Amino acid sequence: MVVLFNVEVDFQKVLNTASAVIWIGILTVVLLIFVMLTIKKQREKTKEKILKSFRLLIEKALFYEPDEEGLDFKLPVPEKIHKLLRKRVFQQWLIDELVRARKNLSGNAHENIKNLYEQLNLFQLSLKKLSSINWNVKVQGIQELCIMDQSRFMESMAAFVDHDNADIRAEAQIALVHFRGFQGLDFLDTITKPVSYWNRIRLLEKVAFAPYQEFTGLARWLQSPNDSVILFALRLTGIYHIFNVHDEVVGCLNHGNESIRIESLRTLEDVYSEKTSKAIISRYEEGDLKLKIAVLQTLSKIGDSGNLDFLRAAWKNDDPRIKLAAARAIISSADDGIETLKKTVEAEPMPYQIIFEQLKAEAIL
Amino acid sequence: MSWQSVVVDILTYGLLIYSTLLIIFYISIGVISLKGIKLHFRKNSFSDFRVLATSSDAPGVTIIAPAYNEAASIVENARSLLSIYYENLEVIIVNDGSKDNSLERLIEAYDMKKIPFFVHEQLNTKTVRGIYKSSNPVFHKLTVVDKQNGGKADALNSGVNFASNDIVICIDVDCILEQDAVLRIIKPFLEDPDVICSGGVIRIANDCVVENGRLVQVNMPKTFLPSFQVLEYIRAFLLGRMAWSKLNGLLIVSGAFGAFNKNILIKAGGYDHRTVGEDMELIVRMRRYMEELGKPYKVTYIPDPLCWTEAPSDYKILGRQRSRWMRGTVEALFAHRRMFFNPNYHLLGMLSYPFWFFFEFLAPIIEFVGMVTLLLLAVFNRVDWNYFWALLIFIVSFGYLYSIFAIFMEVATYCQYKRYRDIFKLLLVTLLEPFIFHPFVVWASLKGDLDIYRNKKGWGEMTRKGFQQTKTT
Repeated sequence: MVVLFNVEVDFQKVLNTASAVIWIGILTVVLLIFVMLTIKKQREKTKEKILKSFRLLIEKALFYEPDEEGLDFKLPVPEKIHKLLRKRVFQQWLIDELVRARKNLSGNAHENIKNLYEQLNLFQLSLKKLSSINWNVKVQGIQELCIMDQSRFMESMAAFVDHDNADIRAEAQIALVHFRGFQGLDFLDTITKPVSYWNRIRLLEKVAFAPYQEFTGLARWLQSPNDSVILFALRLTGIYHIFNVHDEVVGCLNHGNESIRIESLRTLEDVYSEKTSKAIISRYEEGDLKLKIAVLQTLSKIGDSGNLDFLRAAWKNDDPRIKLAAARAIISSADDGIETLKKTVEAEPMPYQIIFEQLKAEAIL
Repeated sequence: MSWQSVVVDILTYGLLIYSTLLIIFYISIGVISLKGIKLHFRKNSFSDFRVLATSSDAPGVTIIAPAYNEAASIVENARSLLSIYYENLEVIIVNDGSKDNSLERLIEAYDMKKIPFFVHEQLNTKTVRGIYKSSNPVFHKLTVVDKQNGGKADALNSGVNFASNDIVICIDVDCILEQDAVLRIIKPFLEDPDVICSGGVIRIANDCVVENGRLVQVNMPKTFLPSFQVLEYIRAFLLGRMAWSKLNGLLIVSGAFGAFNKNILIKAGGYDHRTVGEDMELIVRMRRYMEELGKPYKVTYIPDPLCWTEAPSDYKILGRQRSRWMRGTVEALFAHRRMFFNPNYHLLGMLSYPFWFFFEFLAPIIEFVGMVTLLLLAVFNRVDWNYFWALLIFIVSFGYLYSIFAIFMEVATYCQYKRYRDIFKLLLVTLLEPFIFHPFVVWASLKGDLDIYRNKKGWGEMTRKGFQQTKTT
């Protein structure tokens, strides 16, 4: 007996009981490990076998053409497959295979995969997922319907565009752009939640495949209260060279968010006009180091010889990072860039002359 | 009450509270990691990383690989890094004053030319002797920094000075990365702007089959020592780090593979070359910097097996490694002792730091003191052997359960070891670990503590056997 906090405890008995419980736990977990491993192996075997039949069907679908032109897609499907598809898990395996195949194919085969998905009513399983309480199942459902071009369910997906869950709303946004192209971006007018950098990249990739249409909301998006919308709009402006929102982009240089200020400078590299340099230079003095360097980088892309005096003054800054950026801008702004830089740098002591050597070598490499 | 009974009471109650807390922590870690892995699996089951790999809008990433006397494999290692699937990638190999011909081999293999380069040293390092770029456009992503020897931390800092991108990935040059490792490790930065660092899992590659710099077949190591480490790594990475990451309390990201926000890394002061635990110390310092700044931040962790490394296969090398790890832990904890139970540092000061102090730094010491006390009591015939055996069985059993739960998590998630014999081997090493591997690690850790006392510096020699290579024809 041990007295613990004034209570008599048979410590040895407690330990023995605890050890016995732990050993029951150990044996249970060991059993679970082997059961799980066996199930996994078995499942892999079964899956491989069933996928063989599915892949045969998909292969047939890829090259299928209706007997007469204008007839609907109606691939003869073996009874065995129909039987398999009574089970939900097998339906999911087939959907996964179809999704994988459709992502990697184009043309007629791409379309036939979708037709097979519709013929087998697999969209019903995907659709059901939209009402699941599990967020990941919802995401999966949206993804499947999107990849399989099920535009008739677009409204159901659009409902999630500003969902609290970041993954659900990201998938819904992708789906909208997938179905409606540039018009699908209208959700940017109303969303209140952030669009992550990851999803902005995905949206840009999606938009790139859509037939070009004029942007109608760009000016509004550039003044959105949602910072991520502004960042996305800035990228769109840059990529598609939308010059008519130049002034709104310049306006973003005053935004409170540093990322937006920097991104707007990057955007101005693509949509600059004769007014741009002046607007950028006016922001230089009040900017911090990061903004100053970004200004010089943008001026380097614009390459306007009218900026040379400003750039020479910038070169005199004590911070070597600014010196380097200014030197790069001088090279691209002057007609005889390397020579102009040489003259500017000559007066400077070491180690700054090495900047000249570096940029000269970069030009050669 | 005599003073002897007071001492015995303090020891009894102290150890009881310590052990109870430790057990509670381990149970909590198990439960939290389960949730964390489930969330990670769900989140990544539908992510298409290919978009990121080819997008010109994806952020630029710089991989920094320090190399010291790696001539035998440096060309292949560089090739492996250059083959990583990512558009905006820069690879910087830092030759840290190698005494062999590592640099010459790189120059020859990749047509490297020494170029004049101005660098604003934001982090102080040993003198840089030269910067090399390839004249062959195929290798335009590669930069070699040749510098005086200054140790791993110094080499990494040098790489950071030259990195042109905002995300830097610091790796060990001899690690084998999975093809999509970069895509996976940088995703957290794109999903959440508060992420300052993202760590990856390190797995043991001894006796695995490597083909052209890629790991093609996972095997359990044939010998026992690396097998013990497989179990240890599974436990540490799948349970410990996952749980701490879920709580946003992670204090270490392995030096073999970690991605950082370069600006925060520089502002926090870069790697500390005075410590041998530069990887842990950097994370603690970056977190401390953010805490003191009062800005939100996250240190995330990817449980996917992304990076494979060779574990020490003899006791001498392993002992040095573990002594060094303990020295690193003590140095990092001592350098940031201000945070110990300091509520100004929130979870970092109130939970992460104390956990490391009590259960990572103190554990081997307490274990050693316990052993010595037991021996003394046994000599004076003051041990109640019934209690002793009951307690020992309980503690060892709990350790078994924790390890077996880790194996279960491995089988349930990544299932890298698919053969029954591999699982049997893992179970066997679980049974043997408390009697062979664990006492050795405790001894090596104590040696690390002693090394601190003796003011020992440096890493000690670390040799490797090399991977089991096959070449495709």
